[in-house]
Formats: sequence, structure tokens, C-alpha cells
Amino acid sequence: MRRRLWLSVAMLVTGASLLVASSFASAAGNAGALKKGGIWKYGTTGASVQVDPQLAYITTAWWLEYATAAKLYNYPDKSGPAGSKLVPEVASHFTVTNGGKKYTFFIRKGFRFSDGSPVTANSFKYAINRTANHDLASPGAQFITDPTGTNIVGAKAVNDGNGTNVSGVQVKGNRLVVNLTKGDGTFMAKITMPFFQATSTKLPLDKEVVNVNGNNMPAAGPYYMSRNDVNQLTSLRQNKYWKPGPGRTRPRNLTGIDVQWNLNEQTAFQQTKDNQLDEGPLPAAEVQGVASQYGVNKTRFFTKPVNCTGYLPMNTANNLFGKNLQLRQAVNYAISRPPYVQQAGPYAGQPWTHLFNPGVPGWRNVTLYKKNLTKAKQLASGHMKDGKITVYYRSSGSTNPNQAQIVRQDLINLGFSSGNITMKGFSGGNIYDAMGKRGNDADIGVSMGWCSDYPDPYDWINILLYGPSIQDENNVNYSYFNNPRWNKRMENAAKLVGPKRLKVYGQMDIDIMKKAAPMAIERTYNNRYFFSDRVNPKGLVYQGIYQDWSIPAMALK
Amino acid sequence: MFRYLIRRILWAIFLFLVITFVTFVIFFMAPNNPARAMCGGDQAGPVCLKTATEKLGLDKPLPVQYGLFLKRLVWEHSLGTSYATSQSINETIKQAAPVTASLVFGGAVCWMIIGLSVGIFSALRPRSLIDRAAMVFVLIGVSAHPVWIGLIFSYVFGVRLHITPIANYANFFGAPPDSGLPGGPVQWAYHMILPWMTFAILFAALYVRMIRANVMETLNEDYVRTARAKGAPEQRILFSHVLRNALLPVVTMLGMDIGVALGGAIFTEYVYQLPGLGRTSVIAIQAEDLATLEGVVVFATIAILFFNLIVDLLYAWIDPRIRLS
Amino acid sequence: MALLEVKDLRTSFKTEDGIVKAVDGVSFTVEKGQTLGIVGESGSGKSVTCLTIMGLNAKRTTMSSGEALWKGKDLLRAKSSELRKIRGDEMSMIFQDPMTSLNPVHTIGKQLVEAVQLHRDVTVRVAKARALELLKAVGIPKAEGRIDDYPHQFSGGMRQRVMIAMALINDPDLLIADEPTTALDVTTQAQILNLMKRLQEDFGSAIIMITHDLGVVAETADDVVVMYAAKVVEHAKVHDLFNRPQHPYTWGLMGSLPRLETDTERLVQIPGQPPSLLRPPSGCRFHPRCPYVMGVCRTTEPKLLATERDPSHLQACHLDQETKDREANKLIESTMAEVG
Repeated sequence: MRRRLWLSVAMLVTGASLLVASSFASAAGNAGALKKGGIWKYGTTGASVQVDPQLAYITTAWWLEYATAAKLYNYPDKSGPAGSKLVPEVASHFTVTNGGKKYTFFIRKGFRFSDGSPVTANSFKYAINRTANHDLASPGAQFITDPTGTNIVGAKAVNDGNGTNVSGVQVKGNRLVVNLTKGDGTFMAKITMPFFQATSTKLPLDKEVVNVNGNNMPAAGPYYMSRNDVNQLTSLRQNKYWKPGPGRTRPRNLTGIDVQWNLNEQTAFQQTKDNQLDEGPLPAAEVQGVASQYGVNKTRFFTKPVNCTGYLPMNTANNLFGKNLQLRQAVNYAISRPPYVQQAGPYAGQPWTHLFNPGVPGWRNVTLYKKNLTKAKQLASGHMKDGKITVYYRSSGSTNPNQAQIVRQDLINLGFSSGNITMKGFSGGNIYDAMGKRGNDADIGVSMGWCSDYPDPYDWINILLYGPSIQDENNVNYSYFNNPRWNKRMENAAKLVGPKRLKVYGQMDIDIMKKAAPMAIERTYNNRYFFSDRVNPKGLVYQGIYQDWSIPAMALK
Repeated sequence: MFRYLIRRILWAIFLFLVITFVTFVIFFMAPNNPARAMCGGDQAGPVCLKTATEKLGLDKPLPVQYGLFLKRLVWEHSLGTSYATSQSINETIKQAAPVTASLVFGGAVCWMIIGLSVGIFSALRPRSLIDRAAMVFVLIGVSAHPVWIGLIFSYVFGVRLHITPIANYANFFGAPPDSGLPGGPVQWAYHMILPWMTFAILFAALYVRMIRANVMETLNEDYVRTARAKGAPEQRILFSHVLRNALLPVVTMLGMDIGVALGGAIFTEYVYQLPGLGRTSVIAIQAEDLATLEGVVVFATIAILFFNLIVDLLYAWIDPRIRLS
Repeated sequence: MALLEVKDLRTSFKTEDGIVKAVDGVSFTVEKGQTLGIVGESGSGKSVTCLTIMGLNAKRTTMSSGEALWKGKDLLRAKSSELRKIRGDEMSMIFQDPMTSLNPVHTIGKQLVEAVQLHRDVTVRVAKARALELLKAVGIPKAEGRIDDYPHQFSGGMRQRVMIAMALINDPDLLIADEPTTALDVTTQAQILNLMKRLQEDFGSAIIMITHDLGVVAETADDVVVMYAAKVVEHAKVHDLFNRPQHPYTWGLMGSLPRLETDTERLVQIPGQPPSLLRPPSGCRFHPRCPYVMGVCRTTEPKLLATERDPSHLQACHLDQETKDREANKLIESTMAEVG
């Protein structure tokens, strides 16, 4: 399943901004001759996604957008660090003036939409107008109307329903001028989000494009979406007006890609095995067999680490874990991490004991807690309060409930009597709603975690554990950890740059997990991919920004 | 007849209101947040959630939402737009209904062919080898789950023997151009063979049993003896005197089962990845998409009520006792 | 040559519990234009006898032996196609329950036309004209208007008239009537019996009248066969049977005749139940219910023999002639059932 478990787009932006500031990589296409042509058939068990460029949002939607979008600046189709450096695309260059508040982009000639019409500065202004539009309700609006972050002049008014034209964006010939209310270092990262790609005026300003057929939703990237039948079929085909040239350096091998949605996991797996799909779901029970048959990261089976960490948040706002460091540490010593990870099947990740997984800059390879029941009991002794504990867990699928059972047994081993453990199941993402509400009665949550699409430690420590950002609902600080001393340390660390920043955060990760233990870290994650025999492994480029295979780089044998 | 129709229609409207309202209530009783689906899932931001909630009208109280739903349905003939995909639900149904119709009616034809031939033959030769084999088939058919049968069929005929496709639907009127997908009537039937069989097995088993029992019972009727006493040959007795009477209850059952079958279609559509109403509703439930779910429920309710009405009329036509009373 | 000559007819059924001998050595003769009454309680084998003659028993579970000579041809050994030609044409049958004996989904017209067309190569028009003629003959009022009605639109008596019309439509030589009036009310019973008598005169058919009611026999039959537990216990001219009944079972039946001057339906009931044919009683099958039972009755089965007085009067009882005459006279006096 391509769908990632947890995602924070805001952090993607923050992280990206740091790299943008650091360097710009030179543009380079995919080296080596790969076969051109062929339709890549991708089958997913997931439901179809919104495809309108201003409404498409993360996961599979952005995976497709990254193949169809032409943006001012863009990320190269490369794996590793090279893939996270911004390169000019439709804009040849840009200038920043007016004290960091005025960005001027110089638009190249030669980019065309898939219906033949040229891409101009207006195409980007239209994208911003649509994103800000009140009726369209784009999730991108929050990224340009943030009074404390990126705030384009006039965007807030349009988003509130006053007018449809964002006054701070002006077109002067081949120049696109964007005025911000205040200087903002993350602006380049935000303007690179797919919301702000060159957008054809064929798309109605205030109405979502849902069904695509032919060229009613032109795109200016190497591909465009030629068809979208909701929950059935989505097709990308080559944009025949996109030809290599200045700014157009991305690779392009496939004729197109067909996405079939909502497939049955077992059936679609068989189809992939039988080469009727080129990429399909991999049921947990099949992973081991596929891995031993095809090898790992060689021909048909691939596993890639995801920038995610799985943990059990312990609610410090409630009686049991509040002001109870000993019990929180005891839980860390008591839990059985290997069987917890194994529930997700082979190659799903590994046991882990601190927040920063190896994808987070500044991470350190340490093991903070080894399972030690004696020590755990010693710590817990006298700190069990009334001995009652409420466990929130995810009831969907088989992995989650099994993990909940493992944690329950760990708690019993720690000394909680089984009658005093209250298990509350939540389907789908409901556990996040429940635990995100201040005042909820959870003591501990199971099968929860955090992913970041962009490697910066701020995303992890400050977002998950910074007390002052706790609000009434939709919190992500599920531990309700709010300690003035730690809050101060987080504030100070956020101001640092360069190697020092990473060093400080790396140490803070270890300190906070040892000395405060607001959560019990369980595991890291891998994505597992299964391909047909038709897929050329040389064309598989894992793009770290959206953590998936670059479509333009893909090739069939 | 006219009053009968009026009564049926009023009853249908009442049922319709009850069913849609119950669906609404159940949906709101369950803890969920459909706005989440529009905001990237598990970790949707608070700003996006608020906008999405307003856009979907989820901030209004339940009766108001239900009222709006009814108003839109009656005045605009619109089922609204999906919470999850923003697609017009009329459009969704328009795409999904033909798939389910292909499955259900094709399946019904299959199960009637099997049910009639095997059922009648078994009734005429009770305790024969074929009769006993048929009873074993019935036992398997009513016990096996369609998902299991589907996976077995798909594996054996699709993966192993390559006789049929493993899964997927082929549009009867042709696939989208340039899609590389199969289409056209031949491909349609070819792709539907396994789903039909899978779908038909349960009902075929039930119908074999029912038709066998009905035919055996009818064979013992006095009027069949009368027909024999008249000197009618066995074949004529079977077709003219036995079957028409034996199949009267089958017609009623068929009408009711088409409705039940719509529910059963979920499993078959799931295994064979057919984009029909069943799969649409499963997706809608997973996506917490009440609007689409209501749409499917409304459509299915109307379809079932419609078929029951048709069956009632058909029944009245073939059974003079009902027609004239 | 007799129209129908039944010789030592035996029919048994295979059932879950064993073999049931439903008819065990029955013989009789039906002459042209004559009426034979077969009398007995339910389960005595009288219906099965006729169904066997007609070949209407379920083939799979039935075994028959003996002979049933129809115009000299043995029906038991005839091919089913030959039987089919005879059935409904030369020989037809009407059944006890007119409510269920007509197919509910076809109009009576259609069912009558079918009966004609099965045996005559005529058009629907001709067949329908014949049907209408018969419906009028059996006394269906406004037959033209009712020919396209369905069975459920008729009363029981009317349906039996339709059945009779259907049975007579091909002018059969023999009409087997299996309790044709049992399911009908008393007034209708009389009408139907009168109708049958009249039609027999018009059509000249022989009739086998199966009934448990001696009264019906008395009114219609020339000869009477009394059956008990699959066997014939007495066989006589109707006059002889009613004046000199020879078998205690016949006495029992006569005792249960409705008396003209009283309102009571049944005067004397035969005590006990008819025996199971799976395991019939030893000796005389009637002995467990017989008030005159003797030692010999329990061990030896009486043969069906002619009485000393009359070679055409057959009976199967061990009692001596004197006792039989005495008891018969007593019975006749007490019931004053004068039949002749």
C-alpha cells in the first residue's frame, strides 16, 4: 500500500526550507539508456485521491502530481540527498527584494500545457488564486495565509471570501512577483508544493475538477492526467508539448501510468505476480516468500526505510502517568519490542528506543532501553497509583489489535491486573481524533506514530512534545507533555543552524527519552514494494521528498 | 389493481424514509470524522479540518443534514457529492450500477439455469447418482463463503490454468481509448464468467434445493394425476402442468433474492475488483463517506422496491388466483 | 368378452418401513355399460386397484402382478405409450377431491381442450366446441361464459362436474370414479350421482364406482366388490349383497348406513382401526375387529368362495351359513334397508 501512515506536511515545508537555503543542485537527467514506452500498471488497495492540483494532497495524490506538475523550482528525480536540492524549472531564476518580502520569478519560454497552450507567469498567479479561493477550500490555503509563517499579501482576504484575486501576486511580462507580509525563509519550499504548479485556466476557479477525460485538466510537466474515473482508473500520459529543453531536464521513459484503485489485496498481488500489474500490493503474509524468491532490493521486491517512528504515547495530563517518571520509564523497560514489530510482517521495520529514526538528521545509534522486567517492576513499585490503566488502540486490520494484545500482556507483566486494564478500540484514524482531544481518558495509545516527509529534527521534538502548542483538539502532542524546562530547551534548539543544530537535537532526543520518557518508542518503518517482471529495476529512483518512486524515472524492460 | 399499486408505492416511500434515516443515524452514532479524509488522513491539520467540516456541512445537526439530504434528493434529484472524492454521487451510481447489474442479473441467469436444470432433474430422478451429486453441491454451495469461492476460482482458473482473467471488469460498451484496458461485449462476458459463477453458486444451491422440492411436491399434486389420467405424455405433464405451478414460489423468491443478492454482490465485487455498488459502498464506509453510502443505500432501496413491485405484478400475471382476487 | 377382466391383481409399494401390499389378489369383471361398485374403508386398496389398472402408480416404487385385461389386452404388461392412448380416451377417471384435481393455472377450457387434443387430431375450435357441449351436458350454467374461467372461480360441485365432463369428453368405454362425491355436501352429492347415472345412460359407459359409502353403491351399482385390507371379502350382485350380506365386515358397513327416518348419520361403527398393511393380521384380516371371531379365524385365512345358494355371490368368511343368514336377516330387519 502506497499510503503512508502518518504525515506532516507543515514539516515537509519547514524542512525543505532549510535545504533550499543551503544549496541548489545542478539539474541533471537520469543517466543510462532505459527503454522508452510502455504503460506502467499500478494497482492499489487504497481509495482514489483528489486529482485537482490545488486539492490533491500528499501520499499517492502528490506522487502523481510530481509527475505532472511544472513548478517554478522543483526537486530532481534522484534518490538520496541529490533528490532534495531545489533546481530551477519553469523559473530560470528569482530575486528577493524589499527585505525578503518581495520575490520575483523570471519565467522561461518553452513550457506548454498538454493542450498546447503556453505556460506564463499568469499560470502561477492562477494557481495561487485557486489555492486561496474560499469556495474551492484548498488544503494549500493554510500555507500562504499563515500570519506567523508564509503570508502572501491579500491571500487571507481571498480565503475569507473577499474577492478572488490575491492582490499580492502580480504579473509583469515574464515576471511573477509575489509580495509577502513579512520575510519568510520557508517561502521557496512552500511555493514548490504541488498546489503552486503552473495551472491552466481551463480549471474553473472555484470548482474542483473531479472527473478527467481528455484534456480538461491540462498539466505542464512531463506527463498530464488524461483520465480520472473516481475509485476506478486514473491515467497519466506523456504531455506531447513537453520536450527536453531549458528547465525541462527531467527524465521520461514510460508512455504513461494507469492507476487502478480499490483493488482486493490478494487478487491484485496475484495479478502483479502474474505480470498483469506492474506494481501492486504485498500482503504481509506474502512478504517472506517474495523476499526469498526475488531477493531484497534486487529485482521485484524492494524495501525502503520510511521516515517514521512508532511509539506508545503516555498521557502525562492524566493521573496515572502525570508526574510519574518512574512508571513511564518502567513501561519503557517492560515492553516487548521485537514481537511488536514482527506483527507487521518481515521487513516492516526494526525495534527502536528513541524518537529519531535513521532518517532524521542528528540521529544517534543508541539503545536506551533493553527489556528488563525486574528493573521495570522496581521502578513501577509504589507508582502504580490506583492500578487502573486505559489503553487506546487501533482496531482495524490484524496488525494493530495484535500489537495491542502484546502491549496489554506487557502491562500485565509489569503488574497491572488484567481486570484493571481498559482497552478501547478505534477504527481507522479515529484514535488520532480521540487522543488529540484535550482531556481524553487515555493513559497510553498503541500503534501510533509519526512520519516526517522532510528530514529536520524540529519536526519531531518541537512538534510532538512542545507544551505551549497544546490546544483543545487535533493535538499531535498525544503525551500532553508540557514541561517548562524542556519547552525552553526546544525553543533554544530551534534557533540553531548547521551541525550544531543537529548535535543539540540529537542529544535532546536521547535526554528527553531517558529523563522524561513521555512516550515508549517501539519501532521504525519500511515501505515494501512488489513489482512485475516487466519492471526495469534500473529505473527505480526512490525520491526522498515524497518517499516514493519517481514516475518520470520509471522504465519497463 | 390500482389501489394495490398505490398501497405498494406508499409502503415503498415509508420504507425508503426509514432506511435512509437509519443509515444516517447509524453513521452519526459511529465515531468518525469524514473531514479527515479530505485533509490527508491520520494527521490532518486543524485548519484544514475546520474548512472541510464546513464545506461538507458536518457542523450542522443531524436532522438538518437529513432534511437537506431529502430536499436535495426530491427537488434536485441529486444524491449530493461525495465527502471523500467530491464526485457527484449520481455520477458514481451511474458508473457503478451497470457493473452490479451485470453481476446480479448475469448471476441470476446462471443460478436459474443451474437451479432449474439440476433441480428438475433431481426431482424427476430422486436418489439417483445425479440427485445425490446435486445434494452434495447444494451443501457446499450454501456453506462456502463467496470470498473463498472467488479466491479459489480466481486462483485455479485465472492464475493456474489461464482460462479466465484473474479479476477486473471490462466495460460492455468498450474501454476508455488508449487505456490498454479490455472492453466490449466479448471481453465483458469473458471477465464476468468467474464472478457470475461465484455469485451464482450460493443461490444456485438454494434454488436447486427449492426447485427440487417444489417439483417433487407438484408431481404429487392431484391435478398432475388428472393430467396423467387424461393420457398426457410425461414431457407435456412436466412443462404444462408441473413447472408452471412449481415455479410460482420461485418467482417470488427470485424477486426477494435479487435484493439479497445486491448485498451478496459486495463479496464478489471485492474479490474480482469489480467497480460496482458493493465495492463503492465498502470504499465509502472505509472513507467515512456518508454521502456516497447514503447514495448507494437510496439507490439500492429504490431498486429493490422496484424489483419487488415488478415481481408482484409478474406473479399476478402468472398466477390467476392472485390476479382475480 | 368382458370389457375389463381383473385377475388376481396384486400391487405392493416399497416404503421406508418395508413393503406394503396394498392390493392382494383382487379379481373382478366389468361388463359393457355396467356399473361395478368397489366398497371399503380408506386404505382397503380400492383406489390402488383402479390406479393400477390405469397405470397411474409411481413406477419406481410400485410392483404389480396378475392381469388386467382390457378388451382382452393385458394393461399391466402394456407399453406406457399404449396405456397413454387408452387413458383418457377409452378409459377415464375422476377423482375424489375436485378442489385439487384441476390445474389452478389453466382455464378449464384449456384443460378440456387438452383432453380432446391428446387423443383426437382436431383443431382447438373443434375441441372447444366439444368441451362446451360437455360442460352443458354436465349442467354448468352459462357454459359459454365460463369456459375461460379458472378452477378457483368454480364451486366444488361445479368443479366435479367439470371433472366429469373432462372424463367423458372422449366418450370412454369405462369411467372410473374414485369417491366422486365424498368431498361434496349432501345435496351436491345427490346431484352428481344423478348426473352420472343420466350420463351413463346417454354415453353408455361402464363405471367403476369406488366408494366407502354403501348408499352410493346401492343407488348406482350393478355388481359390488367389498374390500378389506387389500383383499376382496365379498363380491355380489347389488341386490344380493343388500339382501343377503355374507361377511361380518359388510354387515358392519351396512350398519353404518344412514337411516332414512333418523337424523343420526351413523348407526353402528365398526370398532377398531383398519390394520396396517405392512404387517397384516394372521388368518382372517378382519378378525381383530370381528364380533364373531373364532379360533380358526386367527390362524387360517378364509378363501373367497361362492355361497351354496348362489355361485355368483362370493364371500371369504369361516362362519357357517346358518349364522351368516341369521345375522344378515337381523341386520336387514333392524335397518330396514330395503334395496333392490
